[in-house]
Amino acid sequence: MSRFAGVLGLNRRELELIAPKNPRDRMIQIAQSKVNTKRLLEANDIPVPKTYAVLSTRRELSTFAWELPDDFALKPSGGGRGCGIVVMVGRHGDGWRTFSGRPVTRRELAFHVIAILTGDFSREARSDVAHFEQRLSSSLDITGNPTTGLPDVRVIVCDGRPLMAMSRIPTLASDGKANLHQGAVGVGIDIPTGLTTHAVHDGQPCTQHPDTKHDLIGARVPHWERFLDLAMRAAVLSGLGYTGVDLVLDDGLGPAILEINARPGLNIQIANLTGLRDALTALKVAGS
Amino acid sequence: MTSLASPANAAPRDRNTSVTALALLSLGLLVWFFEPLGALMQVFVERHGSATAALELLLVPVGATLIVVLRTMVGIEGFGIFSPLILAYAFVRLGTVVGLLTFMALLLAVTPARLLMDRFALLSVARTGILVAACAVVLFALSAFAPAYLELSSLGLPVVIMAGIIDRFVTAQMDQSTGEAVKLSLFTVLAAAILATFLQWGALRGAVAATPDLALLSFPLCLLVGRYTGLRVSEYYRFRAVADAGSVGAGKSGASGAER
Ligand SMILES: Nc1ncnc2c1ncn2[C@@H]1O[C@H](COP(=O)(O)OP(=O)(O)OP(=O)(O)O)[C@@H](O)[C@H]1O
Ligand SMILES: [Mg+2]
Repeated sequence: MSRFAGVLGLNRRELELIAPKNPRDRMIQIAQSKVNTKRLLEANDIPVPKTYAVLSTRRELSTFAWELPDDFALKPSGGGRGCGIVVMVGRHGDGWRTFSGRPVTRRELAFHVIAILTGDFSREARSDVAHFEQRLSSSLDITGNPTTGLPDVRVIVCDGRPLMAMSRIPTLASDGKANLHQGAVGVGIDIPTGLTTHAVHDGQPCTQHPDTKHDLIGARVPHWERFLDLAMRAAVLSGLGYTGVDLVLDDGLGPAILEINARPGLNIQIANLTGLRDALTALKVAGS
Repeated sequence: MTSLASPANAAPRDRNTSVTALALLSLGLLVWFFEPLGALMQVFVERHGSATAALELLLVPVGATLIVVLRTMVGIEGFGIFSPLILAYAFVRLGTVVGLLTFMALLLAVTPARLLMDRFALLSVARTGILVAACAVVLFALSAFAPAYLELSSLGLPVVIMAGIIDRFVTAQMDQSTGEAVKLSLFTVLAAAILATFLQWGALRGAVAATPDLALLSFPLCLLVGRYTGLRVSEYYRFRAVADAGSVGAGKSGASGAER
């Protein structure tokens, strides 16, 4: 099975990358707390969505004034896999509405905050912290085509250097979410040039966006240098040696960081049609 | 050659490994000569008359090891380790087929309760409480009509586990996707069914009954598997496109064919 020699599997990622490179205390402080991550990055002049409010107890919720802008995201600080995130895009009466136009009242939001505090969306149901933050949005994906939802750019950084990158572009099937297993398209990005190389959809290589039929290959990612620079700086600041940094191209802010993952997924190999072990070898050769 | 650990820190790790291996080997030899569990088993039989209960206990390490292997080497990853393990015991008690049917029945019967809960916004703990209660009631109804030899009523603990799996199924369905939830549940049930079949395998039971110290093999086996860095069987399927691309266009994406 030497064809697979360059592919990184879950076991090796755990034993040879995460265990030696990511100290436990940093994982808990940074990767498992979006609020902390944002504080750290903000203090170092790295663009992140602005934090409007942090609620960590029911008491804080009961005295919360609900002074929020027309659009925002409500998220658990410790959650993963997109669980428990609700995004409001505008006003509706006393409350707000979602992207699909569903009205959401204050009461419903308060209930969602309680669910977050109780730990409904965190691993092992540990109690969590809720936060309201600036809504980010991109009208164009990284290939320059109109998009719904929020496409992101994932850069895997190993020991301060970018190892592999991709963009996840939402589809109708993924319901605006940028998760590959929910049907988003993954587009591999060549790190030195910032050109898109390959694309996958539902585990199969493709060349066009499944809904809009736009070409996905050979596009130049705008602000690519900036994306790389932010990802590398954030990774170094996090104190984690092996991370997946998630960025978005916000219409107002430009490239901004959404979060830092201490256990970045392996699907990026499919989007690049390249194994991470091969990339690690290449990185080592280039570095020595 | 292909290890990611740099040569500098490879040396102490290797020494650690050989020290551990040596210690394990001497422990193994001691067990081989003295057969401590074998001696304990004789005491057990003298005091309790039969070895059956002891055998069940000694099969637990064997089952746990199998689950570890299924997860880390095969890639059958369900809801954790305990769910498949305990579900397997439910299957052993009921027979795998009846166990599977019971589980399906529960899954179907509980769906209305699930849909009902969707209409109220509930905290997940409350949801879990309702699911456990619903599972127990449905199983009670089933057991009233089941033939006596099935012992459905002795399923208190497995009911909790089945309810737990159903709850995680519901959660995964809401948070991720139905496909993902079905996959995780299927893998849990599959692992449990494999395990149940294995635990009922006459040759294995005979061997552990005759040589109880075989159960101690679980420790070195888990140690070995815990350091396994190779691909899982499932990953050969998952990353097949990457492997195919690598053999056609090697060196295309900056990762020059250093491996070959
Ligand atoms: N500030 C925001 N504005 C708009 N959408 C957001 C915002 N934050 C998160 N989202 C949406 O939620 C998705 C997941 O966000 P995020 O990466 O922070 O969560 P996660 O739980 O860590 O998910 P994953 O682990 O899958 O990356 C984003 O891809 C985006 O669609
Ligand atoms: Mg993310």
